[in-house]
Amino acid sequence: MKGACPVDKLLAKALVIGNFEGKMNEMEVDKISNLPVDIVRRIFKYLPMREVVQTSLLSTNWRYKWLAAEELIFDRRCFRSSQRDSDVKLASFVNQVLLLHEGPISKFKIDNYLEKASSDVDRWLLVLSRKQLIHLVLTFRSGDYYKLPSSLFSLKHIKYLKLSLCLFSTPLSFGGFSCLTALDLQQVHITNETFQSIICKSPLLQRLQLISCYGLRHLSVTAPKLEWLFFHGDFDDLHFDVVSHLVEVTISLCNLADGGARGAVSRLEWYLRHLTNLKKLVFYNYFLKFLSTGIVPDKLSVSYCNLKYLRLHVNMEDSNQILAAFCLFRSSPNLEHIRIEAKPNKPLLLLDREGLWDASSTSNIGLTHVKVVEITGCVGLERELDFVRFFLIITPVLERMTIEMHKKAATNDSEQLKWVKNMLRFRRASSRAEGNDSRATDWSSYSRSGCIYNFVK
Amino acid sequence: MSESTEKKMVRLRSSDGEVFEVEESVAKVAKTLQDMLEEDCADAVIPITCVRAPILTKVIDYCKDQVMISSSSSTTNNPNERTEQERKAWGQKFMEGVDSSTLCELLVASNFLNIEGLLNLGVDKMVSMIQGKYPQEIRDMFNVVNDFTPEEEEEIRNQNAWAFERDPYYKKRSSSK
Repeated sequence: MKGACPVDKLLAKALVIGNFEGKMNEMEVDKISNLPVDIVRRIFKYLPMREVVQTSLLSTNWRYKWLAAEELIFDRRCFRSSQRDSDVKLASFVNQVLLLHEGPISKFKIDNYLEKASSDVDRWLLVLSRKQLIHLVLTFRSGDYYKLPSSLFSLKHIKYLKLSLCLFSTPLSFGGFSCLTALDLQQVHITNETFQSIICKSPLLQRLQLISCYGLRHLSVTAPKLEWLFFHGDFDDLHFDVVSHLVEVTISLCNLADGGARGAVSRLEWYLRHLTNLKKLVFYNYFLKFLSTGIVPDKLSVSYCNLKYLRLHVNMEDSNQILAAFCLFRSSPNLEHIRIEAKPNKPLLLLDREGLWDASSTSNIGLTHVKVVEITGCVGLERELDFVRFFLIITPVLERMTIEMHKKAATNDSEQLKWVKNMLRFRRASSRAEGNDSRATDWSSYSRSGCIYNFVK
Repeated sequence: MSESTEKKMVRLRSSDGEVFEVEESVAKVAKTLQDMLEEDCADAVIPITCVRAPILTKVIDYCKDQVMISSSSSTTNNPNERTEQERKAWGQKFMEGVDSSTLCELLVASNFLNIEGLLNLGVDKMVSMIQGKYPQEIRDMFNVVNDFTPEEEEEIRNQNAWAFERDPYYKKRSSSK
């Protein structure tokens, strides 16, 4: 406030809300500086952090307004990636902001920006735990696991929590996250017991993502409100219980797990028995292999009537996996979209079975609602053709079939052409396709470059 | 307006003394007025002390439109029903030509009268006006007077240096201006 204040600045200061009818020339009046703080907060919400801070330079009136911002988001959009000493700069900045900040902070996000955690982060979490935080994202680029301080577990209002490269240990007094609806853990170190305690004490949890978590060997999910689950990583064993709201599940098993012996109960039956309300199911990598180890039943005892979308990684040379796929088809009468990704798992004991594609093994499979079938990653195997033929016969209302060759398909052009020609000869159940004289035209293209063969209704 | 079913009218007085007569349903779009009306102060003229007549006119235009949409949306095959896209286009058109001074008053009015939809339109407009602008550009737009001494300005820049560092995007944008 040093120096002479221009006259109209003083006038602007004198002008308070509710007194706009003054006789001064409207265009000269600074109205933005007198906006109520609620409105300013709302405007800040839609501006990048960097620009929010820049408002401090407008005038003395604006110098500290930005500290009322409810959302503090530090990501790549707000800094330049080339800054080498950015960790130190960011830390000192966040320290300063939190020291001065007034009012609640609803969102705090440092996403993939900090190289690694420091003791500063402990302090931030302590402050945030007293600010009614709702949304927290704290992910680091590298470095050792950051041991989460106990203050994290006292975030009573937290609804969304995303953490990476952190080490979990819950304090004895941990009372749960009573508002938590979404939990996203990536490369965190967490024990079975801690994980279970968090899940059990977060009764509103709807979305759960676990990616490459270390230490979590027995994945046990008991979450009555859970709707969406994405898992990628390893486990020894898996257990679902009270998951009646679960509608979308993706499980990607990176290495073949042991699993326990279940006696006469097949793994398919055992692991999927609680997932009866599913609409969308995706199994990646070794999970189908895991489920198809041992006994593979024809059909599961429960029916997945809501299941519309099924996506599977199948090793085409493993008969058990194909039988497991058949089992899922039989148990899901209302499937509409199937995507099979041919994926040669590492050479394991392959169980080739005679007569796999005979009427007896494929009997009672009625994919009467399936409109779309996609088969990707084909390399030109006989088995892949078997699958194509099978789907064409069994799907009366099929509208589209897509077959995509693997990028590194070993077969040369002439072999591939032969393979495709074979495919074109198959009989089709869908009335929309049959009766067409020139079958080749049904496959909209089989150009070599794209290696995608489409069969359209 | 004077149809068989007599519509209840409400009178509003702007800060500069102009009285507006509107249907009750239009007034009730504003949550603040709805609460007042439900507590029954029907005959009186409701003073809107912080909103001038030209602004109140604009606010009433907005409320009338909301009533038109909602009253017709109950009937099937409604020609006035808007898709998300149409609504966005309508909002943009409604705020078109609103200058910075009017915008501030509209924000204050919609905040006071508690009209969430109009407040959102105003905030969107404000964000689109100031996003990516240098402090001096914002000052010019809204008649904010820079009352910092050069020393103070330097001090603020140094405190949060990262936020004021030039980045290529800003340079490009300002040179194209």
